[in-house]
Amino acid sequence: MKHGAHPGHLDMMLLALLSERPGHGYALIRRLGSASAGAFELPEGTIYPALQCLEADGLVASRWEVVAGRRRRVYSLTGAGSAELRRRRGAWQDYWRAVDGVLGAA
Amino acid sequence: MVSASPIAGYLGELERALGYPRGRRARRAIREISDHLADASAGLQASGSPRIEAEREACKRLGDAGELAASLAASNVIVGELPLRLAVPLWAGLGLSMAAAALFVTMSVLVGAGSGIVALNAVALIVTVAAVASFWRLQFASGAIAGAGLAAAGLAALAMAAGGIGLALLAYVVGAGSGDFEYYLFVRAALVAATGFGGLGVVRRQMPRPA
Repeated sequence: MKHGAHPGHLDMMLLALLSERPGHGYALIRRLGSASAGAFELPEGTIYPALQCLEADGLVASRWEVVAGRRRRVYSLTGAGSAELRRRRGAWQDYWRAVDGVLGAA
Repeated sequence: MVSASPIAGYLGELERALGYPRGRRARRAIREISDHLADASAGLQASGSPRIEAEREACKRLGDAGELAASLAASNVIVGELPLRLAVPLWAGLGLSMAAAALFVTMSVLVGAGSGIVALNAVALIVTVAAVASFWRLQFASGAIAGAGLAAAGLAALAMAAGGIGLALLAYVVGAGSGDFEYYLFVRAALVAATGFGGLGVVRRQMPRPA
């Protein structure tokens, strides 16, 4: 089943992907598709405003690098981004447990 | 007019939707999206799609260009969400300061290099450099206002570049004597011309692509 991605969830997933290793926009889209087994159906362009916001908030940093012979804007997680990812993971797990508890009780 | 390349058409549409002048971040986003489309198209072509079909599919996957531009603007990062009430006086101030600087240069050429004029020109140059720097940084959402400001800034920058060259010629002509006057003129001519050409360069980078 295909799903949209809530903007807050997309931010969290981007932070998680970048915690594994830095990457440019196109690579991040590919990794997002691969890690979610293609579950999210979102326009690929969605990722760029999200990355810009994360960068403006100081959660990711970016710089031009040459990747496979071509110049690419490569994003990486900052210290603040790591802390934010830990916080959001915790909140997500709390939320997931709460929903699961309700579903399990029904 | 139908674009031969779907990617070029998409990028043109995105640029027009983003408006102009565009700030550094907007240009960077366009560059990134251009790279993204090139990668996606190359991947599809490697899978056997013809070039045009691969480009069309890459654009489709990226999403509607207008919506993407709106998302970039809504991110409050690309366009900066400069309110209209702030954009109008800023543009007016920028145009006036550049026009004043060009006027000061022209007047100083006509009336000579009195100490008052020297001070005025120094101030005018500082204002102009600051205005060009502001022009570089400021990002506007309104195409009509930005277009008018761009035209005014372009004309002022052209006047300054021409004024600088004129000053250099004047310094060469009066250079038969010696002293601070010629040296001062040369330095000022270089500053004015550099500022003017710098301004022209900024304006040129902000110009929209033809549809």
